[in-house]
Amino acid sequence: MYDLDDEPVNILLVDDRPENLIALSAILDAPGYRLVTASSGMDALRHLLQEDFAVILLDVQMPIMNGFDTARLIKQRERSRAVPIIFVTAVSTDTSFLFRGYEVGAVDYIVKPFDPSMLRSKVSVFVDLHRKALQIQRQELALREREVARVELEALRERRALDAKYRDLVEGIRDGVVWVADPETEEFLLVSSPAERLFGSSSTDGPFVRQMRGDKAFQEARTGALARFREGAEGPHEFQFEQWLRQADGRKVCLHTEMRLTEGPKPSVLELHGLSVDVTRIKVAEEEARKAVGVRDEFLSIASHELRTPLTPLRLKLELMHRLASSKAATPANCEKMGVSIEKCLAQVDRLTRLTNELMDVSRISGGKLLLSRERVDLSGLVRDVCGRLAPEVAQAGCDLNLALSTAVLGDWDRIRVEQVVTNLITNGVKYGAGKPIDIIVDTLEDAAILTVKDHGIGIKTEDQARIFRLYERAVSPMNYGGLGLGLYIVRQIVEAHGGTIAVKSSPGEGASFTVVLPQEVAAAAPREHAV
Amino acid sequence: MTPEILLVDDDPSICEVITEVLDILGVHVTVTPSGKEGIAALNAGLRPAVILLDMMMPETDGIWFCREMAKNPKIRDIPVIILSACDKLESVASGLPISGILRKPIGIDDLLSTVQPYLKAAS
Repeated sequence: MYDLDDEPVNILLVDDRPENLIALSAILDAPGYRLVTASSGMDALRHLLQEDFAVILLDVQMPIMNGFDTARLIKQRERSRAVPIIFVTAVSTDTSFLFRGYEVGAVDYIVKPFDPSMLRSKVSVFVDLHRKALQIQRQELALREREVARVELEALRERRALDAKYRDLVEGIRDGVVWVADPETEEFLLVSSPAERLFGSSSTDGPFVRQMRGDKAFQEARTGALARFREGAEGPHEFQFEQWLRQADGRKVCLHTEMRLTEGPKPSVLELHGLSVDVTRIKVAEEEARKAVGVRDEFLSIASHELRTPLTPLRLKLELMHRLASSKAATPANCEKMGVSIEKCLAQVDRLTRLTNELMDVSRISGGKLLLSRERVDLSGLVRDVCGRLAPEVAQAGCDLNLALSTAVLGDWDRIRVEQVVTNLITNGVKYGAGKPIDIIVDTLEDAAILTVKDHGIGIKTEDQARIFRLYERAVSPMNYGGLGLGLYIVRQIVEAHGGTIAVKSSPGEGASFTVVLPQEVAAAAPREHAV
Repeated sequence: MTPEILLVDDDPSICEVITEVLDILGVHVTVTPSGKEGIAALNAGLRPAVILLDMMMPETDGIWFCREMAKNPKIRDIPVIILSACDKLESVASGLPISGILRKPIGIDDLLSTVQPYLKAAS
């Protein structure tokens, strides 16, 4: 450890007479003392400007500036105010002289001729005091330095803890990339780890950064932010944009980026702070929702058309009957005419009922409420009945029905629902069959009944064949063919509720063949009360 | 000469009742179930006072019919009234050379008051 006793202390000896200075130096010369001599008050003040002293031995009787004046000036200066002054004099030891010395700041007197040992002893006391004061001063300094170091260390720990917390926060954002970039050079200083998952690398020069730099939205936001900042516009300079970038596996990812231009760690350095969140799933869901709304709107438009169409003959017939009734010409011929008109009106009411039933069925299927009421049914007999009922409609379309029905094809089915399947498939064949014959075949294969309805009309493109069984879907323009676009969807739901399947084979211009496979026994299909 | 109207519609129930209503005016109605057959009737010399045209028909619909009419200077000036239940009719029919629209369900008074000026003009 460093010892203060080894360090020499300065002692200032002030006397206008060189022999006195020599005498004082001779007496006080000792290791650890550095004796500095001054031949006048001015000379002493010069030394005090340059160095610190442990004690000053000051002669009272000096020309120009005596000891008292010199002492007064020494005490006026902040740096030298505390330095103890011992007056050296041969003049007088009376009380008034001593008081004058103490008034100007002397701490002691020594009268010539002085006793060397007493002089050394007195000086030694002040040197010790000086050394102790110095030691206390240094200890204080050391303590202060240790405190400063402790505070700095504490601040460093806090900063590191904060850095770690922010890093955890940044890395905790799994669906978004946090990044920092230089807005001028476009150099990226930080890219958080989700860039690795999305783009195969979180390097500050990796694919994420390269695509960002080449992205139009990013460049517009960056240059816009810089321009606003340079114009002196008040902040915050924040921008939001969306961008489609390519992932490591080639798929596209939609990022919603929020970016802010701000001052970096140094006030003059600007930084771009960004958070780019993966919103691909939201975008895809939005697109699907938009398409679904489009399909729904088109369906509503078609549904309103289909429901309005039968109302025209219904309204005209009712108005005609109203005129006939108002004419008071209740002749038998008019009554007969009205009877026919009522039949026509009822036919239109049936048409409207069928349309509303289709809508109700879709509602039931969507709500999972399509219940089957199974009974023993002969499919061939059922098909024959349906064909008989549809005969006028089929004849009006100019079609022929060619039936090839095996005898007694029995099964546990819901009669009304299977009738609906057969009706929908035949009316579909009539609608798209271009007036050509429709073949209807009922047969069995192992434990299943097979129903085939084949028309020779416009046919269905391969890409549309799966779609036509979906809700609201149709393979033709609603401008050319009416209907709600629900028929085949309902058919498929009923068939599947029976544990069966439906398939279509078709080529454009060569007609379409729909084949329904229905398990004959419940055990091979679904429970008796089946909810879809 | 008995005034004549051409009705182009694939719905037999509508054709039947419109024919019955127009019979009140003593009008002869020629019915064709498609645009193609309607154009064929016009090309064969039929010159009705007005044409009542359904827009939605299989294959040759109302739009096709109007475009075909426009190609033939002999028939392009015959007035056409559109019958439709379509709620987007204005956008569907925009740009077509038509004289009027009757929106389904049609009433007798609407039908008669719409066709009468054309019948008068023809006579």
